[in-house]
Amino acid sequence: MGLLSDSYTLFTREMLIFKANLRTNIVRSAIFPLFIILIFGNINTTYKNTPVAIVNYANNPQSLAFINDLQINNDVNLVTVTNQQNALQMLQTGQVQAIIVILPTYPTLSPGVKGVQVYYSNTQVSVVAALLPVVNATAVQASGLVAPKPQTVPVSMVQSDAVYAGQSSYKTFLAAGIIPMVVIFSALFAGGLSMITDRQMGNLKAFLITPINKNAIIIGRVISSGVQGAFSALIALAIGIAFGAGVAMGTIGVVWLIVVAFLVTIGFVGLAMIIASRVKRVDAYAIFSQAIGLPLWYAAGGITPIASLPSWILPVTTIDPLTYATQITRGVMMQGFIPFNELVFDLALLTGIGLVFLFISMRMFKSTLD
Amino acid sequence: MSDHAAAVEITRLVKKFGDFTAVGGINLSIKQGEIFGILGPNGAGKTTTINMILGLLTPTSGTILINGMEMRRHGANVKSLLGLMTQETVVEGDLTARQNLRIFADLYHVPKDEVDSRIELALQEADLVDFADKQAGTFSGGMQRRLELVKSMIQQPKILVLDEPTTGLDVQNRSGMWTRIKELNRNGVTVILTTQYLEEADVLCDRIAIIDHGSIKAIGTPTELKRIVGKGRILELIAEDPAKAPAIAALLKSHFRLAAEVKGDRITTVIEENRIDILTSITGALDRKKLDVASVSLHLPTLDDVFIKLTGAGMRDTASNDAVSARSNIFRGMSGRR
Ligand SMILES: Nc1ncnc2c1ncn2[C@@H]1O[C@H](COP(=O)(O)OP(=O)(O)OP(=O)(O)O)[C@@H](O)[C@H]1O
Ligand SMILES: [Mg+2]
Repeated sequence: MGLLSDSYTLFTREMLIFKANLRTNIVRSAIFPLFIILIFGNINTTYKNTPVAIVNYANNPQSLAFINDLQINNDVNLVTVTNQQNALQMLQTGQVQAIIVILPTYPTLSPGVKGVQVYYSNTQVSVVAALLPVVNATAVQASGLVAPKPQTVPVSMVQSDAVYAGQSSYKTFLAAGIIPMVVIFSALFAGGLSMITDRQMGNLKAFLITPINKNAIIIGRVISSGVQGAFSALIALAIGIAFGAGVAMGTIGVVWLIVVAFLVTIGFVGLAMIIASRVKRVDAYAIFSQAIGLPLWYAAGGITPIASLPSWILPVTTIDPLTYATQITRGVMMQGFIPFNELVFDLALLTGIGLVFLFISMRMFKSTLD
Repeated sequence: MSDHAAAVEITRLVKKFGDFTAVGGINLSIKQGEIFGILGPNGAGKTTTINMILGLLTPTSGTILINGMEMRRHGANVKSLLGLMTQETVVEGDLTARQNLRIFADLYHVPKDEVDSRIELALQEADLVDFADKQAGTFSGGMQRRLELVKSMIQQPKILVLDEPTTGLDVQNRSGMWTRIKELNRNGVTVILTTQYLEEADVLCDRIAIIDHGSIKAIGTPTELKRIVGKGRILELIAEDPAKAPAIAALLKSHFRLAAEVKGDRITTVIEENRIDILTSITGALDRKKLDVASVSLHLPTLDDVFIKLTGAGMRDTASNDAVSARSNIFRGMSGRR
């Protein structure tokens, strides 16, 4: 009874404060997604760094030369050579933006028969329009069928197709990446900063002299931060949707987003309180939380596909809880499904990290001011 | 167990922060039902002592018994006996007066069926019935303090600790606060208060401990403490030219056999009750020696005089503390939640 009801009282307090500042909180949750989607959502990415996957059905010397040339000329960001099913899934989850399929007919010059097919998601038209001539020129050259000079008739070896890839627009990709970001910042603010101000304003002192279990102070704050994190996620989602993002999974997907947001917040609030018990100044704490939040967001592939991140950051990506949160949000919003074992793994991992941080923060939280 | 025990019994209490000794071995016995004042300048160790009484700081050594019980062993029991109004005003500005009170009623585990009636009563006592559902942040400093006082009484403690309850209040709110404190005391609450205001200690307290640099300089009733300065009147002279202050003191010594203390341009001495008439001779003598004074005053000893006598200084730096209640809420804007 004691711990739970005390936690509930303190939860109520946090939520009342949150409600009293509702407008500020909405603006805070909204400003970042707005900013990111407006700036990055409308950038015309050049084909040079367009992540592509290649599917090679031809598997002959000319096709290998073609792949080789694409890489050597640095024309595209070749993520992987794989099978078609994998490649399509990568396209749907936004890991690549186009697929170059080298057909068994390559190389050929027969009229009506194309040797190369490019699939791209229907929202990447401008990028692929720039990419196609490059792919074609390389394909023609590598085939060895046409003398390089003098070229009289333009030869076309490439056929292109917009693949219907669910809602997988870059804006959906971005929105799905921003949600975890907004959520951790909500956690770092709600959890850590309020702890510091409570200490400075004397509120903590007032709580500590009451006959409550000190862990109630942590638990009440953690749960309320979780709710606030989920709230921030919904605001970010609303903005994403307003700018053209979608949730492939529909209403159930939104529920999943709320669950993920709640779990991520709980994990990071623990971390926030650990930092807040060491960093006693608001400005230092603000810098600290930025310095932690932004890199984790970047490493998790929040703004660019993990495939196009520099390789030195990949170890961070692997241990970054946000990576797994982002995996779920992308699955929910872009693919419309999450493989069951992946979901279980991601959720277990997020919960586990949350519990570890929570445990450490409880151990570090002292019931005196010493 | 508790009826005969002192409300608070402090024995050889020491608190060190690193090498710095904030409280250096004090002994205090605060009786049931009294208003006990802890008086001292900034940094004297008042808040540190109080924090130890409340269990917020762990003593380096020494013991504190509350109604005969030790905090460490009887945590929750002892905590419900104590109430605190802190030096900082900590009503939650974003919450209404009622919400502020309810949270603490719940945290103190006030029985559910009593919560509402206690809140109503508290609102009445604080004269805030009309403002019950307004955000406390919109209240004036005096209203916030009143709310803070009833908030710290919501669990109906036996011992109320007030850390500088009137710092930062205007004269009217201050005397209002004094009335309330006396009223609470009349209803049987033991009050421990710290203050930098001698006048406050004089008006309110049954007994006073004067502390400076972490140790007790004197302890007793206001009257007893005033006696330390001696019977009679305090004569205070302010020299026109501070350089001549020692000469003035020397003259008092040689001509009138008065031991005077010099502090800057200020010379103080005690004149026995039956010798008040020498004042005119003193001014005459000073005039003849061309030792100009800017002001002459003669008054009954106050705690101020006791204080100067004991600590060798006036209250230090009192004004700076008045800024405390005005401490801005910049963080609230930053975090967006408070
Ligand atoms: N946590 C701490 N760490 C180090 N020094 C401290 C700490 N708390 C207090 N002190 C020091 O101990 C001394 C006594 O402080 P305390 O707050 O008890 O003074 P005070 O009598 O309440 O003064 P004020 O009138 O300014 O409130 C001061 O010199 C202060 O700097
Ligand atoms: Mg103090």
